Amino acid sequence: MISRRTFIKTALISVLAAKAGAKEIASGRKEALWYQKAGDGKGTVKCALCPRRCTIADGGTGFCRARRNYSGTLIATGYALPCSINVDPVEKKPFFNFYPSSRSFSLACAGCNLRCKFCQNWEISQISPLESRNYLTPVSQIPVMAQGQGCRSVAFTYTEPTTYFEYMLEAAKAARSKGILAVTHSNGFINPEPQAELCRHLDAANIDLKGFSEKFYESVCEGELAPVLESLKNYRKHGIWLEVTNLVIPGYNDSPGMITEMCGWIRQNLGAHTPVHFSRFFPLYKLTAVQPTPVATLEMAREIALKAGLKYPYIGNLPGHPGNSTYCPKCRKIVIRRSGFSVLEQHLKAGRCSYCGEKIDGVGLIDGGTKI
Amino acid sequence: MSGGIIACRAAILSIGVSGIIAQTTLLRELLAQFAGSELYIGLIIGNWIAAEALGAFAAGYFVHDPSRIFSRFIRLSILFSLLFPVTLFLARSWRIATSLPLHESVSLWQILTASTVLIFPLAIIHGAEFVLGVSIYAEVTGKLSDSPGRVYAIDTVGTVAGGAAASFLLIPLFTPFQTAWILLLINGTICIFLNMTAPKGAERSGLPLMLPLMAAAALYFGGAALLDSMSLKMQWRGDTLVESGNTPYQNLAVIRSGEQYTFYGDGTPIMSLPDPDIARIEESTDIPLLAHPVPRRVLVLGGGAGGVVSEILKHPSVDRVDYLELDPTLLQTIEKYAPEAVLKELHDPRVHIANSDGRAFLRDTDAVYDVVLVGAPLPLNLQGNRYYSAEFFAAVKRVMKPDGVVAAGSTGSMSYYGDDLKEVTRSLIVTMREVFPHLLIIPGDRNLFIASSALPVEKVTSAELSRRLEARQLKTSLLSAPHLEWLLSDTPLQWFKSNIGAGGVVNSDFSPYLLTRHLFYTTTRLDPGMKPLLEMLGKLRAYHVAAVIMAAILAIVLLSRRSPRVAVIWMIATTGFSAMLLELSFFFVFQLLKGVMLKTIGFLIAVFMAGLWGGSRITSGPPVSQGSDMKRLFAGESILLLLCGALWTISSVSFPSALLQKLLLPLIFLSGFAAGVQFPPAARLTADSSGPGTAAVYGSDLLGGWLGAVIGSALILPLLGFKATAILLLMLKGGSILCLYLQRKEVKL
Repeated sequence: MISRRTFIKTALISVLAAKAGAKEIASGRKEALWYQKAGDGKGTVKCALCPRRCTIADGGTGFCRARRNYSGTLIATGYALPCSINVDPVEKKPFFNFYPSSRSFSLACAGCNLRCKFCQNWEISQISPLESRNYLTPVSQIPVMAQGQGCRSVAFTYTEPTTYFEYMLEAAKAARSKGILAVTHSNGFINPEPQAELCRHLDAANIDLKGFSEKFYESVCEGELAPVLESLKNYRKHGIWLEVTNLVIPGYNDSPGMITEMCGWIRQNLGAHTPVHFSRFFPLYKLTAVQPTPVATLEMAREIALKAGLKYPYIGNLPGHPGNSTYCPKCRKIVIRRSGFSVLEQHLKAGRCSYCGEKIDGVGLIDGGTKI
Repeated sequence: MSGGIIACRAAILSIGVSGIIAQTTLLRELLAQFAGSELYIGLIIGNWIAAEALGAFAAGYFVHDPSRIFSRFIRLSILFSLLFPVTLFLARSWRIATSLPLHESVSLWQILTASTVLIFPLAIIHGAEFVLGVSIYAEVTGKLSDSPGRVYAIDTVGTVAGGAAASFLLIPLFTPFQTAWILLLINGTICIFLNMTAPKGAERSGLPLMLPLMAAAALYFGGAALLDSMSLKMQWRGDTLVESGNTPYQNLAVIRSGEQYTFYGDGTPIMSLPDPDIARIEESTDIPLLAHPVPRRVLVLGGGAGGVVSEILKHPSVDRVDYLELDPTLLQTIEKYAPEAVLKELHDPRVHIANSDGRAFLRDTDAVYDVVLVGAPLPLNLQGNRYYSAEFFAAVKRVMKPDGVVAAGSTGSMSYYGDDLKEVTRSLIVTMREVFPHLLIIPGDRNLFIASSALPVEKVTSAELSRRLEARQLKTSLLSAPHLEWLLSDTPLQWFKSNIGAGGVVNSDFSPYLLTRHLFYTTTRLDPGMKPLLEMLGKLRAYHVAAVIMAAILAIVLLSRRSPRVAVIWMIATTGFSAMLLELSFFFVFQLLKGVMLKTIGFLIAVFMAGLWGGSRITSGPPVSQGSDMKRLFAGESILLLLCGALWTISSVSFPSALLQKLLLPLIFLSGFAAGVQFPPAARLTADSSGPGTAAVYGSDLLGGWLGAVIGSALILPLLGFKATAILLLMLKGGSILCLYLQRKEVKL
């Protein structure tokens, strides 16, 4: 029985591999950054991009499915081959204290270095760029397309941008050379050295803090918490505008204890001015038998964050909730009123609350917003 | 009649009763684990039959010593009765053994392995019991030659009685473990009786003496309840289960988390209270109602409780809400745990609840509506697909005012459409467009489609909806003018259109394209390795299968020139395939028509088995003249051809449903009957020097039946549709007639 199953699976994989071969020509074989040759004479390489540090044999692919060893050279197979291109409000990333109501040219290449069972974008995060339906998009085109769509920023999002690091890096440089901002929404599972390189060309990062225990990361995401915490601190250190997203899953990471601990850590290590988005979970991918997060749970999480001294806790994935808006940390009046991704009103003057004059933390908080 | 004969007959009767009851109880337990998809029924029945054959084959080695057959039969009977509750227990706790966490979806591989591993041991024992039963009967009555036929007849009576008891008595009144104890009680008592009346010199077994007492005690003192609650605790390990029960339609479970109760149907969350999924409810309820200028009468097809109905009642012009919910237990259960929320909406004088099937209601009602909300679950099974088909939307149109609107939702994406999700979405769009000229698409992670015959809904602006939102003074938590503006803005719609493109395949009851592609989507989600295989299957067309059938017919024609027996064996194999596929097709037609197949599945299987027995009864006597066995084979073939024609007609012509309902039971009976008629003559015609060709005939019939269940009902039927399946079966049977006709002179007694 086992052998038959293995046989069928192997047969299926070889069909896949044959198909993949056809697409490789299009990928242009961009050599990856951040890897070393193992020097074992067999062409094995060691990837140094993320904390997994995959050892990849010749012909093999990293855990992320996006970096493949061709005869001893590691190739970033998603390079210039995004599978999703979208123009989104920057609030959808989500960034709430960063150029409110501006548009963001959003793209993604297939692949991810985690295996979260609740992934919202599993159709593209859990496959290889050799399998997804892609749009060949050279780096030079990105600023042109973004400008044509009236976008203030380019966002690397949906899947895990670290897996298409080279493309992200070059696209960020190209965008900034034309005055367009570069932002990323990532799981923060990246090694400090490549992260430092990335940060030189990045304006803002929204990092998922998926839960606040090693057990959660291990059992639900096949990942580790410690490197994520490390990279969160690094983003702060490098001076990148940082927002944090916490997807609240009933029964998994919604205990008041865990949320309190997490908020305390954020305040202490990232600062009280770090916006935290408590995002609503929907049954998706493998985790289909869990109910959507009750509104009350999200409200509780936001209360805990406020008590912990965080200035900008939000409720996300729940359009129209008062927790979508930005409140002045001092007078508690709404300074940016939102419904979902739409900005309805702004009460800001030179980045300050127009009621009490308190400074509102963020970037691009201009009077009346930046709508283009 | 001596006590020995009575005991023996009772024991054989009980084989039939126990088999069908165990099979249906287990089938329902497993379907509850596999999100209720009827398409797996073929898999479960097919496995059951294959395992029974294996058991019968193995038992052949044990029947040679007549002195020990009584004790062996008793041991098997007891083993079966004890293994049944154990299997039930495992069916609920197998996730732990495979370390699949509670909230994770079950993949196709897991379904295949779990159903096989759980079913095989029980069905193997059941098959062996039958063979031992034949020996006992021969020993007690002294009639060796016609024992198999007699035992088969008594077993069939038991099967029919057990099927009816399961459908109409056991499932509504008892838990599966109570049913298991009742069977143990019956079988234990029969075994004591059998022990007492066994002929002198026969080995007896002391085993059964305590068993009826134990079973009675377990029933009386709550042993069944204990096992029930223990197994449920294991099934829901990690969650706080407050209630679980099998209704005639599904397994209902209630999970508590703090003050919040979540209700699960067949393991999938239905709703959560008292804090409902308000964002989804407001979008899927208020937007369609706002799309209508003055909604007065509203029809809710499922999913109304837990917020949707109370949201409808907020619209001041609404004076009547008809709410259909198939399972009355669901509403009673919700009311038990969230009384306030339910009181507010379901006991409002404007709300009328009917516990009937939505499709049946649409057929029968004379009412007309301004708004119809489709709240059926996603099309992951035939039951669900009945709310996304062209026939369904045509039936909805009939009960809608010309300017009325109907709203349906489906899985969507805001970042990427893979091939399957794209096909699902296109299919729903063209299906709705085929019936309604006007369609408004609101893309999202859950797409919302609003259609109308005369109201140009696609032209409605967010400003107009917002104006109505304000004019109706709706108190919404999350829906607001800016949110509507975003939902209806051009950017997401353009992105959606460029990803979806034009075209698509219309989804219908008898050609469930949407269901198939949705199943592909969920299968590749959990088993990405299956993608290339499913891509290939997606390209399967009827003419591919037709070519395979033609090639097979040609091969058989050539082969049977050397050995005429081949033509007979081929006929039996294709009959096994056709009869099984016809049986399951008629089950599915029953489901399409009534939506309550699960409730009556045991009875339906029993009707087929009765047909099988009835057919073989007629032809098991010696032939009256030379060549009459050939005529009997052709008679069976003719019935099958007629049945294929009937299936084709049902799926092509819109039949009056009342007539169709009356026809289905005879059609299921005849599917079995046709196969039964052919069995005895085929065994005689394939006889050689070593005796009748029973083994070859039995084996090919079984292989055919297994393929019919697994390949036929789980692949060909959903992929190619009922109509194409009927034509392919016609070809298959036409071919087997041809093969036999060419060899009519060579095949002799």
